[in-house]
Amino acid sequence: MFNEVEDLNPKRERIIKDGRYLSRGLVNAYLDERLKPAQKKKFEALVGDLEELKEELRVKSETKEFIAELIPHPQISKSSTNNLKVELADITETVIGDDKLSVSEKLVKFLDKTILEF
Amino acid sequence: MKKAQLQTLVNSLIPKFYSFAFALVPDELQAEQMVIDAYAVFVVREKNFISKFKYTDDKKEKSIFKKYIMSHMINEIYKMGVKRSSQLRILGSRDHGQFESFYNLKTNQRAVLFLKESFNYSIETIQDTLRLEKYQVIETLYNGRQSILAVNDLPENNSRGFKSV
Repeated sequence: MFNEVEDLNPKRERIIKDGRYLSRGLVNAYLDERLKPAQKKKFEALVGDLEELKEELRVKSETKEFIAELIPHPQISKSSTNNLKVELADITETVIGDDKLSVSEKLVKFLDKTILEF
Repeated sequence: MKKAQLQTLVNSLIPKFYSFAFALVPDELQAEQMVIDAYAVFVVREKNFISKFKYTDDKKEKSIFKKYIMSHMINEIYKMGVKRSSQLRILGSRDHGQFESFYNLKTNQRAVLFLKESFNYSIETIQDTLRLEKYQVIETLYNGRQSILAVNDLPENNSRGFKSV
């Protein structure tokens, strides 16, 4: 199975220090919190004291926050909430309600219906 | 599971269903209708499972069932949103202020970005919920973010060319 962190194209990797490699995919996975705890620890150890990389991470993190501010969080109004509660309850009643009735209850329900009104 | 239990649980999730529907089709009435339609599909399809599910006060069980409802409902709303947003063509007719770039994205990009940023879903949860492959989620997320960045200026102290997120 494809492992996005370990199987990234090596051509996209670059040497950051002393022969150590770091890919952009790994940086993105770190920022998206997709790394497992052990991978995260390894990544942070790799970044270590590299100021240039720390700066890049900071900028990327801020960019992500900037984008997050442009994503709306629509709030539902009270009237919509009440309307949906009624509508969904009606669906539950219609679809599931009848199954819970015994034969006698079904009969009572049927006989209780007005067929012709004078 | 009793009807009342299901209803209580569903009622607590209404704000989430609605906000996701509105993110896909930004119109109050349409968003409401999508939640109603998605719920009807969910209940009809999962009727037997819901009836047989033994719902107790156990927190773990409650959490499992909540996730189950969320997953089905968000998936249904997503499928409806993809179809309806293109049919309704209402996206460009309203002023969305600072969220204009978001509402100009493709529906699938809005869905993935919204779940990631607003619901804090992991890539894996988005993948399971929207029935997509992992690479599709990552690609959609990346393209959505890039499209937003393309029409919005980054703050001045953040323009060193590290736009790739």
